[in-house]
Amino acid sequence: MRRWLPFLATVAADVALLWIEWRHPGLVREHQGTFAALTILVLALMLLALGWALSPRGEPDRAPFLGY
Amino acid sequence: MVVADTLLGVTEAFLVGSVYLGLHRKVIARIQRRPGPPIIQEFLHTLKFLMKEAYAPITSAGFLYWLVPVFNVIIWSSAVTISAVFRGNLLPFFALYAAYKVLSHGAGVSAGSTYTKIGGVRHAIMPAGELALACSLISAYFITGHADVAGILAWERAHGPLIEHAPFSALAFFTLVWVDSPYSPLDPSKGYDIVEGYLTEYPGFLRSLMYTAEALKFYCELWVFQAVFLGISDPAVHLLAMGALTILLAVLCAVTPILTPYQAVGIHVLVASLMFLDALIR
Repeated sequence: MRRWLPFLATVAADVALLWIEWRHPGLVREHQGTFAALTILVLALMLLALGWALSPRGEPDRAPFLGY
Repeated sequence: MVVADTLLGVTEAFLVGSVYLGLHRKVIARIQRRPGPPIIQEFLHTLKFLMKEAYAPITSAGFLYWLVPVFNVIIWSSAVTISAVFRGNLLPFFALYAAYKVLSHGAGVSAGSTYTKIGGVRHAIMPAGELALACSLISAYFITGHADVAGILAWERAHGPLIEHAPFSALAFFTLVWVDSPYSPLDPSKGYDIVEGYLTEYPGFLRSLMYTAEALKFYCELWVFQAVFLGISDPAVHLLAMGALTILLAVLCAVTPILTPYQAVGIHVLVASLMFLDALIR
């Protein structure tokens, strides 16, 4: 369950942004660039957090990849 | 509706971009007499990789390595939002494209692999990007008097598509889109010698984020090209024109032999020089 926390946090942030737009449309219009940038930031982090939550974890004691 | 429009616009760009990347692959396959993957394959790939484990090579730069895919999504989501959703100024689009070149270099270097390093460096030095993009946007500004998409579209409604007034600028921008399309003969950043270039060492859901950014990039470049140079503003016609451009790009990629990096860069410089001379004469 803990691995889903970052994803849930980004979903909450997105819902908060939508709620602010719904309740204070004038404020969002006034700071259009800031809110668009925040939305994009949250969206990108949401994808990362979703991947983090969905992906399995490998064996902790496997031989590490040593690079080239 | 800034937040909702941004969310919807970026989602639409990802879905449409993924499908058109799939169409691109399908057309290439049919030309090569292969059945090819289904058109939604790129979308399925993105979903599949989202559920795969990601790891960092021991030689990678840690924090930067993990954040490069996130920055890539941010850059192309911003470009889609500024140009396609709000039809705003194209100068940020140019700046974001330049940032994308820096980022691809960072993606190559941060993984710590020789393949990704060479891929990143080759991608960053491609002059078709900033040079052609800057020159074509500057000539669009000098002709129309507008640097924003909405203003250029309004000018084109009165004077006709910009491609009639600045054909070499349109050619330069189209070359940029061609260079950035998958399996492009003009793209020296991927090849048999360096595998997938700067993407080689990005596994699992990090790869999924990279594919998401690729789909956004493809959509954004096609959208800006046909809005700025073809003067299309209707959403339905937009989709049809982008599909037609995708098929044209796929045919070009399929029938053109792979060039060496020096030949590819030579063609980039040739197209940009033609456009520059055309702008000087005008």
